[in-house]
Amino acid sequence: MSRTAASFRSAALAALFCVPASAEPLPETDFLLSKIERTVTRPATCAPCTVPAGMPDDADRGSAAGDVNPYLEKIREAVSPARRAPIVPEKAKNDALAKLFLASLSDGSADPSDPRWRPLLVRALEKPVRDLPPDDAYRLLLATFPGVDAGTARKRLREWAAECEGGLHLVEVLLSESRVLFSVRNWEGSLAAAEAAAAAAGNSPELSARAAYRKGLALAGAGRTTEAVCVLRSERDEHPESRAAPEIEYAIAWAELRGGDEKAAAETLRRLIRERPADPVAEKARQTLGDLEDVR
Amino acid sequence: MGADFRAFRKMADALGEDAIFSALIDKAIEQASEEHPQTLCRLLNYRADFRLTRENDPKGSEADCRRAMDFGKTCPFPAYSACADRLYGIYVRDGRTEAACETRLSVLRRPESNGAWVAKHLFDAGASPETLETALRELRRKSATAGGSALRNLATTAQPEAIKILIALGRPAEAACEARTALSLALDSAWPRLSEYAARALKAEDGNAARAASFLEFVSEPLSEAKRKPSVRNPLAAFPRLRDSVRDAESDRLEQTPAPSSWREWLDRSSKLCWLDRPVDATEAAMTAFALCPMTENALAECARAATRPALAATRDETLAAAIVDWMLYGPAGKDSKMGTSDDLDAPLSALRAVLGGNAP
Repeated sequence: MSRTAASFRSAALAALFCVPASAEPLPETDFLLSKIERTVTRPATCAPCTVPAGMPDDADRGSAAGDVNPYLEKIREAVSPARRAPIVPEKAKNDALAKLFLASLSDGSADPSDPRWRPLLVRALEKPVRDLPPDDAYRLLLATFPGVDAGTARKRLREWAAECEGGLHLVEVLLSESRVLFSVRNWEGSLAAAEAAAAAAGNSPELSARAAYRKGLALAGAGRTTEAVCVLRSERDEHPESRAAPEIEYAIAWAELRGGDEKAAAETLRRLIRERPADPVAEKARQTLGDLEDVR
Repeated sequence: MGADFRAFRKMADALGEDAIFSALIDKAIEQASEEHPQTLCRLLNYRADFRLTRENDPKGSEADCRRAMDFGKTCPFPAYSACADRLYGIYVRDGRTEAACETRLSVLRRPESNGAWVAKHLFDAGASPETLETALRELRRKSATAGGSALRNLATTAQPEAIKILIALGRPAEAACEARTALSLALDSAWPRLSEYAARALKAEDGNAARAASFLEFVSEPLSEAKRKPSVRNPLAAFPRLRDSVRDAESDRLEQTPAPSSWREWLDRSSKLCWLDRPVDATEAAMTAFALCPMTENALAECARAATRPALAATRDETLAAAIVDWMLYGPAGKDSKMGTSDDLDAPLSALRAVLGGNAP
């Protein structure tokens, strides 16, 4: 054994078994040491430090004649992410814009009637952003049509929504209109907006379900409870798997209750709880049912 | 030991036996020698918390916190920062603004602090402009003394605080420049938050949100060569190079330092030059790092990212970034390695300098 190999063995022993570097190897450790030596000994041609991980080995290098240099290709791959520009996702941008808008409104530096806010506000109807609930976004949208009465502003907003991005946001604007008018007990206005939303929803089951829900609520609010129950039941049966289905079921109970049929309302609520026990609407139904039973 | 005390405290809480815990910790503090100040500081922190939350004894809690903090750097940072937070709360409640601010600044001066929350705490305490100025200087010193990944981390912790303070001090243009340097340092994941700060600075500068909104459009617009819109430009590019006393001193120091000898040092220098708002110099340093780095995927990718980042942060122009990468890969002869052919490349630094406004450093 050469002197270098001997000193290597000695150092390896010291590291492996915590024995002094000068100690003689123990016979039973010889196989381990020879394994280590085999592992660390490489052919003179191999230069592992200069070859990127995953690159072709020496055999491939020999066969890689031609136009494409496989090493350069590997390097190209490694550095390609550096060509891509960072991007702020749409959602984060909208959140930031909404915050900016609200801050500007509160410090008086923004003109709420500036039409440049409309795209931001209309998106906030569909995908609520922080600190800007959809109803507030709708009211702010109306404010971008200044100098006219509320009815004309709503009409202009609808016209703008029908034009903007090929009418992509029209249904959402109409649903918001229906919701906001419902909240101020303008049943007829809410109903008209819901019907327009239903007409504009086309073949989308989700949008149709939401439009029917709003229509049912508006009808019930206006005292036309039988019609409301009919519209809501029909929608429930047509799209039982829609995301609005639990709310529609609850709205049926509300319409029945408003029509004075407490027994039917209780039964509808019980069915909702039975069929969708884990749904958040079921919790609301439980509370209403509890109140109903207390009254009785 | 900390875990033991926490467990014991929980047990005492559960049993309603505050007296036992109080006696135990008093005894432990009595026995803890000043020769083991780290242990003593931790114990004082536990007792300060106990005194404030269970015994409703803010005076006692304050005394313990002050005693622990008097050990200075010897006090372990978690205990120091917890004591400082507690003291800050006591002082703010008592209306002792100056003491509250000084306590908060003392945490900021610790090298372990990343500066997070300092602006909010100082604003809540009603800090004077002079105190805010001191905090700003401390925040910048942190970046000046940090290198590499620490500097990148500070871009998402200390620099946003500096931006908020600058806006509060009525220097929104400087805040916008600070945001620009932070964006050129930070990882992609930090861009949404930093962009929000940059937008805030622009709005404060203009008094309206128009340019801020344009900036948010700029950073969220997918820019490829085909879709690039000439109308979308970076509003932050309109501001001159950021100069302040801390950066000037660091810039001078960097000039006097001998040229780095390793790729890692060149990469650190590139980050520092980004922070100094010298994007072209930063790109050049990163290109040198690329030339020297080992041919491992990580090293190559890291250097390439550092070389293109200043250009991408300023312009989001992927064509320009590709030109930088291609130059590093092939040199002036281009992909075919032959000069005088159609794929010869121009040096990208002059293009970058032109895009960034003529004589950008």
